[in-house]
Parts: sequence; C-alpha cells; structure tokens
Amino acid sequence: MPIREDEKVFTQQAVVRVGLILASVLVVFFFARWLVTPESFGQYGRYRGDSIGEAAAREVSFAGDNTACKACHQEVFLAVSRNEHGKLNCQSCHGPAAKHANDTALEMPKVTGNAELCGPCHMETAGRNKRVATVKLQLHSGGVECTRCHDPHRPYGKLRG
Amino acid sequence: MKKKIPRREFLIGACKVLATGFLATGGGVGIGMKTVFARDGVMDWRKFWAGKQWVFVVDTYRCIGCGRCVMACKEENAVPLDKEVYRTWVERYVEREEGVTIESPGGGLDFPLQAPEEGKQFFVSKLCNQCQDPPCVQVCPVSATYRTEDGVVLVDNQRCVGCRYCIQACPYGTRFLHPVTHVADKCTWCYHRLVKGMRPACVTICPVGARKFGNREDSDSEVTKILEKERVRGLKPEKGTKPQVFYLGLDEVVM
Repeated sequence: MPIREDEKVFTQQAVVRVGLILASVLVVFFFARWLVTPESFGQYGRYRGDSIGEAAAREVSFAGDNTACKACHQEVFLAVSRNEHGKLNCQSCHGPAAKHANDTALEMPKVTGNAELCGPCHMETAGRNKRVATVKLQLHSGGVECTRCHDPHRPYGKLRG
Repeated sequence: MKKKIPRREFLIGACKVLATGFLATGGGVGIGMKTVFARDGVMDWRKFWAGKQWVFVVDTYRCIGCGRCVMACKEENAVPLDKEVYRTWVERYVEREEGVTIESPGGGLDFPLQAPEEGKQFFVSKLCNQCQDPPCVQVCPVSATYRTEDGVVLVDNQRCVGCRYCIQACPYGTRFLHPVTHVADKCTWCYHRLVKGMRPACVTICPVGARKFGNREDSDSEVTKILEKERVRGLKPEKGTKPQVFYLGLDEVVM
C-alpha cells in the first residue's frame, strides 16, 4: 500500500533525534547518580562503607577488665578477690574507668556507701533470685548507711571480726 | 496577537535552561556532598570480619534486675540518662493467677520494691537481636542501616533522615529516635568495643554473669559451648527474623 503524503514516517533523522534525547537522559541520570552517591557506598554492600569506621570510632568509657585497676590498687584488689565480690568488675560499682585508667590524673567520682549503691543488687524484691544475699532494708538496718557495718571489698568481713 | 513559539524551539530552549540550571546547582551541591563524605584512613573491614559471627546469650536464671547494664549502656553510648530511651533494658515478669504483670520502669533502673510472692517471678533483659534477616534494614529508604558480615546491625548517622520506618518495623521495639542526634539509634553490641577486642559494656559490667557474648565461630568461646549444650530460644521466632540474642530459661509469657 502506498504511503500517503501527509502520513508521518520515521526518517533516519527522526531516529537519530530520538537516540540523542535518550542518550542525554541517560547522561543526566548517571551524572546525577554519581553526584548523590557517597564515595564508599557499595564498598561492602548496599550502604556507605565508611560508616562502619564512624561507628567503630566511638570513645570507650568502660575498661575491658580489672587488669588496669590491679596495677595501682593492688591492696584492695587482693582483698576483694578473696571475697564474695571477688569476681565482680570494679566498674560495676565504681562506674566507668577507662579515662581514669589511661590518665590517673583524672580522678574517679567518689562512690557513696549507702543503699543507693548496694540496694539495686541486695534489696529484696519480687523476681530477685537468691544467688545474691538480699535484705529488707528497713528491718536490716533501718536506713543506716551500709558501709557502717560492711566493707564492699570484704562484704562479710566486719561482721565476722 | 500573541507570538506563537514553535513547539520545537520551546522544547530546545527549555532543555537548555534546565541543563544549565542543573549543572550550576547540582554541581555545587555535588561538590559539597563529596567533601562531606570525604574519606581518610580506609580500613579493610573484610579482614576484621573473617571468621567472626558475634552472638549474645542472656541467662535469665542469673539476672537479678540490678539495672547496672542499663546504666553502663547509657554511659558508654551517650544515650541521655534522663530520657525514656534505651538501647538495652530489663523487664520484670510477675505471674499471678489473674495474669502476668510486665514492667520496666526507667528501663529497669527504678523497679519498685515489691515483696516476693508465690509463682513465677523473673527478670528478662532486652536489647537489639541483630537479626540475620532484619526487617529494619529492609524498610530503610536511604540505606542508612545495614548488617555487617560479622553479624551486627549498624546505623549510618550521616545518611539517616530520621523517618522512623525502622523503629516501626522492629518487632522487638529496640530502636528509637535519639533525642540529641535526631537519627535512629539502637544497640550495636558496642561495636566500637568489639573492634578493640573488648566485650560490650553491659556484658563487662554484669555482676552476676547473666549476659554473655562471644564469637560463634570460635569453638572455645563460652557462647559456642552454651549454644551447643544448652536449650536456648530467641525472641519471637514466628517473625522469621532469625534473632541472634539467645535466652536461657525463657518463659513462654515473655514477648
């Protein structure tokens, strides 16, 4: 069937034009993608690889174990290690010590010897198992500071001697 | 009468204007972003990950609900102490005939003293389960959260836009919007300590050894021995997330 004069046909020129438009769209797309994609994105997976290092760079507050404490506080360390609290980490009661261990000029905050310190483990409450010694505070001491009778480094020591 | 612009000329002109504008603004923004995301000392994490699969074990028989872990976690990870957001928290379950009471006041720091009763009463600590199939990673629209090959789900603080999809997607409620940084935050098993060969702060500090942590691929580690010999269970197995925190003595009422 013959082509009518007013009927539109795909000339070579038209194909080239469409091709150029598509190509420029692709160029713009890839350029835009390059712009907004962080450099390390996709290094290990569908995420920014550098962010692992950022998460790992956080400063440590709690020292790993008691080794550093032992180096200076030998006497206390020996005393406590023979007692009920011997397996505890010093920082469980004394708080974060990594900074103090690295620079002993930075002093540790003082620990108070009242029920606020001992209570979380030693006050009797529902659910607390008998693995630790528990007391009813009012009956046990009537609110007197725990350290009046007990030395946390030798919990039963004073009672015996 | 208005001057008619031929369609072709209009399209070409529009393209030119758009292209110039795009190059001018986009280029500037692009250079800015590349500077923000600039890299310095690059480490090959695959070397660190090789032969490592971290797992966490919670021994609910040992936990005494002292909350030292909650405190240590907040201090170690800069989570504001006075805000009701927690990377880890402790729940108390009290079972009575009329039903179970579950509470976690102050994340487990402020349990009211309560006389022990007959029946089951116990503490269960919760934290991110670092799922093998994490829904939070699936839903993140900007790829700001991911699971490393040694098994820890991390958040990219720079990329997170704070949309909170991940917070809703987590079946364990372990994610929250950090009140200071305003991006999603969660337990990372103290990844910054793991890379230095230390255990997470909560594990370090637990006075009764209720929290255990180690490398599952190391046959000598405590956790490997527990997983091989003891009967353990993860939370909400029906969610299909394959949680990597395993509980010893988990009661069926624990959600």
